[in-house]
Amino acid sequence: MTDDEGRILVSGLTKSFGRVKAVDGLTFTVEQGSITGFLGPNGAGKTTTLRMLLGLVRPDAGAATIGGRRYADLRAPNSTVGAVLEAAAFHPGRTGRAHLRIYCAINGYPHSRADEVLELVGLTGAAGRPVRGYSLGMRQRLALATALLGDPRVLVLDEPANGLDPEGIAWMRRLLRDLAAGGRTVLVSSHVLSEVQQLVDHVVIINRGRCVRQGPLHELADLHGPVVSVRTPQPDRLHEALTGTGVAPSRITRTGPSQLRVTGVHTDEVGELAFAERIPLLWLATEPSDLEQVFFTLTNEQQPAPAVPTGA
Amino acid sequence: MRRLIAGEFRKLFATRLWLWLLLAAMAIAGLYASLQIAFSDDPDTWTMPLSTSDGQQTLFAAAPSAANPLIAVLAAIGITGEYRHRTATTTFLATPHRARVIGAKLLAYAAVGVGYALVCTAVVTAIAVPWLSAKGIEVSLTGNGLPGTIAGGIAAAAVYALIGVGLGALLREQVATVVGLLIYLFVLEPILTSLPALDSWTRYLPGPADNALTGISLTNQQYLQPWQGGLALASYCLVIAVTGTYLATRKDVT
Repeated sequence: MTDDEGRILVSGLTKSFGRVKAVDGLTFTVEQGSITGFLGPNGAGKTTTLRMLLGLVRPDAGAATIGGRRYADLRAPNSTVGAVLEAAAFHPGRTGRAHLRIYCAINGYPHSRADEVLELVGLTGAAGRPVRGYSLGMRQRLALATALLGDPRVLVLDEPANGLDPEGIAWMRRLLRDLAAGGRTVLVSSHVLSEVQQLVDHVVIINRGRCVRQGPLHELADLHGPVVSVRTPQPDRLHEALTGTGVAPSRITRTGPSQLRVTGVHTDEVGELAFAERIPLLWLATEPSDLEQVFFTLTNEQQPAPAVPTGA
Repeated sequence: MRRLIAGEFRKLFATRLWLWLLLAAMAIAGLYASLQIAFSDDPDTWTMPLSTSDGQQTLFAAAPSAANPLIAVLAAIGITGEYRHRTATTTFLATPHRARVIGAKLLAYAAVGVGYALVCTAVVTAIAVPWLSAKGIEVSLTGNGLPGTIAGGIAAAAVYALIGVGLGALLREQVATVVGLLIYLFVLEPILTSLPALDSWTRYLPGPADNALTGISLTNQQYLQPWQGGLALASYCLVIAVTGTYLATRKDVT
């Protein structure tokens, strides 16, 4: 195995559906062995990008490679990349075990491998039941079991937490962390940063089909500077005053009937502005940096245009 | 490719649809054979007397091939189910060369079609041989051109399976594919072939071509030579399977 067998390279990837440009010249790199969060609001082009990476959707331009090869050129795709793409992608009449054994047969893995991955995701007890009786969480587990069948070096997961209860999300997080500890490359998409914040070490943030930020997670926190929380009886006037000094409206959030949160400014700036505008302040404090807010700011400031249809 | 075909058989046998359709096919073949024998002495019948080789060939061809639409439906469900249940994603992740997936399905379902035809022929044999013997007609499966008829029937069953897979790859929509198949086989083709004025070209349609291949003779129908019927069927298979495979490899799986 070479060092970059698990490296994902996306360059200039472009795809339109009709007149909607779902992915627009997207370029990013996922390093071998990293856990990378692939983030963006719904409709940003995450699913389309992952499907192009996996050879399911044909790009209009650009290319995506895993370990230097296009997915279609991988010698043993299931043993190289494991993918969890959508919940409920099963034939409802097949049992969990029968479903897995199909892919054992296709890949030439022994039957026992199906039971091993069922054990790994905690589905052994339901293995003999048809999938139509599975809960959403069980389906996600079966999807993950399918992805792990070939013990792949790279895992690609599209919104794996969707539809899971908090316990299921915690379970998924633990499992992914264990898998990543074994040196696997993990690319996990989400529209909510907080869902993957404790899991990932790198992020690729996209919006409207373009990459708006990529790098280590900790750099994200330094991006927008301080966060200030302020309470005032006249929040609307303060909002107006702040935007009047050039603070983008997307950086101001109403957090209560008389409370605002402002990113990218210091407490003294807010205090002086309020004094100058004769707006009484009841409370003013610096908050710990909120990555979700950074994410929100990044994906909203770029282009305040309506989102493309979801599912893209 | 052997693994892919094994995978297709696993998919098929993971649910019971194949069994229900096989039982239905056996019932249809058995019923058709019984009715044909029971009313073979009717002076108005379009079939030849069962004491003649033409009559026996028709019996051994028509009864099993009555189940062919079920084979086409099973094959069509087998491929369109991948899109309906969105398992196409997992399937194409395991085998990115989609033409190989379609190829494996074509071969697997052709084999299933052969199996169905063998079982249906066995049902017809089990009914016809003793019954005709009681009527004083001894039937030998190795004589009266019956080996050719049975071989033709098996080939025709495989053809229907191939058409089902190919059409499914072409249309991808399960309901549209199955309903389309049934409308063609049970409405459109019977209407067209019932019009003697159109006979010069309707004899090239899949049903009449199938009848020609298996050696069915009816007093009110003109068929092609068996080899011409086989050639016509092979052409349909080829065109549909190639177009279906081409589309399946081009289209995005979303």
